[in-house]
Amino acid sequence: MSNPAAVHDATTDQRGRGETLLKVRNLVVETDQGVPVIDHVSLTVPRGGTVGLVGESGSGKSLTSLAVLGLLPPGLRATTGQVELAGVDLLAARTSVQRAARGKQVAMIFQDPLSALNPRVRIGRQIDEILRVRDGLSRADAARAALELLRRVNMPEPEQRAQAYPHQLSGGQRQRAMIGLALAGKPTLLLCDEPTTALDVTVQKRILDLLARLQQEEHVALLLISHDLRVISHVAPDLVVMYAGRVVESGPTAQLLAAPKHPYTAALVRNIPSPRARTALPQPLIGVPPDPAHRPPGCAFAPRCPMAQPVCGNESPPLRPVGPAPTVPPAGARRLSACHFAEEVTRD
Amino acid sequence: MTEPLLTVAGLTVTYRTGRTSRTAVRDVDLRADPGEILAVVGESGSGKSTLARAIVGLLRPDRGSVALAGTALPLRRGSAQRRAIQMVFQDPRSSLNPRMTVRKILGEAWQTHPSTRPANVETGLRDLLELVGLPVGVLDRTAGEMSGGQAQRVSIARAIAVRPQVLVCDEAVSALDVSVQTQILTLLLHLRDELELAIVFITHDLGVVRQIADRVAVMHDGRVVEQGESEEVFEHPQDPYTQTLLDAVLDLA
Repeated sequence: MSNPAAVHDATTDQRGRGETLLKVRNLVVETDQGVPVIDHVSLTVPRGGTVGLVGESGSGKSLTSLAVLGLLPPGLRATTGQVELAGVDLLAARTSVQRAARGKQVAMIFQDPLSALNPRVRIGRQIDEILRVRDGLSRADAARAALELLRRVNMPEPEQRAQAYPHQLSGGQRQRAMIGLALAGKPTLLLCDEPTTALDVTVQKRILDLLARLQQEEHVALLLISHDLRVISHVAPDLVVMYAGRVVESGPTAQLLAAPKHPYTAALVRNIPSPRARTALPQPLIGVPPDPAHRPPGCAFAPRCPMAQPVCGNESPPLRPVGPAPTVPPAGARRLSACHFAEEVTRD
Repeated sequence: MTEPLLTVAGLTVTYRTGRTSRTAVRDVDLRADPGEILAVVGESGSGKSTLARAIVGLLRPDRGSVALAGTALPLRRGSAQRRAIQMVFQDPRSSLNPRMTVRKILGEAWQTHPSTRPANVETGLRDLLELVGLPVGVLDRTAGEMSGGQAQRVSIARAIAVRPQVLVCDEAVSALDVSVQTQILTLLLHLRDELELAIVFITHDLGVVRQIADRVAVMHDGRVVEQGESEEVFEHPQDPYTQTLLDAVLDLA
């Protein structure tokens, strides 16, 4: 399963600004039966930066974030690779070191805040509990700080909402409470897994704008995971595209959308219906992503790919640099694509 | 002027629990013609799913009527009237029995409405699968063994097996990945043309609406606040709520 070009990090740290906060290198996650569900995934999140991770169900995007948190479900193990957070390899470190590093530095926001929040504890109490444990604040100070956090996430009427139980809040308010809770630990990295998918369209954009503002103000790095390219393109300057457990393309979001270098990215872009203009339905992709246990021998996308050639069915294309090298700082992330014919891909 | 195929007039549905009540659909008027896709859009809680259920006859309205080709349907619909309006739900994993084979699922539809059972069931099954783009090989597989997109094709096959005139789709592509979503939308357009179906397409995704809808009804707080030709609604929204909805929509940056 060697993948020589996997040493290229998706969204490399060859960028002019910032040091690397999270570095995932050649991560492999396997089932107990030895089936790889994440296959040599590498990606980098710069300190204070935002990276989007897009993929469809089963692509391994959520498992990647769970592996970072050490929360892989039973039956799955990270077998090789590194997950480095601020220089500490979390996969190699002792459990106590892992816990300390994760607990202090990483927080996560889930799709459904109703199942992530404690239904029987008032919102304010859930937040001030963290402040009391983590910062040793007195009950009164913690309550004040919790209220301040609710203000920072633009919770309407924060004094009243602090006294409310999760079920008494709207979906958008619940997600704001969840974000406040995540920020209470002063994380350096916030993992957001489908943070707006369960929300109404009119609320989605406001939550994304809130995340973008907090990323600026609190200097917290975001790894934003979604199946929806529209959500990611709204806030993330850098993008990683996953398909069937692998990174197939990465680079600056604007460039990937304007001129994708992998036919799967091109299909994703083409298939997103725009409300701005009436367009005919695009030619649909045939079939569905492969089952990880029955991955085709060559490129996993080949059976659905409109550009597939015989070589695609035999040789797995490595993730390699494409396009011109970025110019001297400030340069964007290097573009990478795992397609034999990356240079020939067109958006339409 | 001939009557529209589907006419919804003054439809009102109120949910009652104990002493409290909530009117989820208020005085809704709609119409749909054969070969037409009418999209109903709105946020969660706007009443669009309640409306869908009332049209299909799964809920009894408090007031108003649903009429087919000019004939108002009674509260207790007859078999032919139930057959004429079929529904496709959001999640095929919960609307199909995961342990039932495709053959059984489709066979049951014909059992419920024997008048639509083909003379040769085996040929009928093959024709049906071909119409929805599934290989014959799936007949003896269970719904639980299929991908979301394939299972949704089975739901659609079950709905059209009994030759309805109206198909109500409630967020029928919302749970699918985009690369599969387009396949199902393409299928729905094909069926609309092939079978002259009137499709009531309930969704929150305005991008999808603009791609496939002929006409659009915008729901807010149980009411239809605006209704018209799709392009007209997108280009010249009349109601402030429609404008709010359009402004909020995310698009590729």
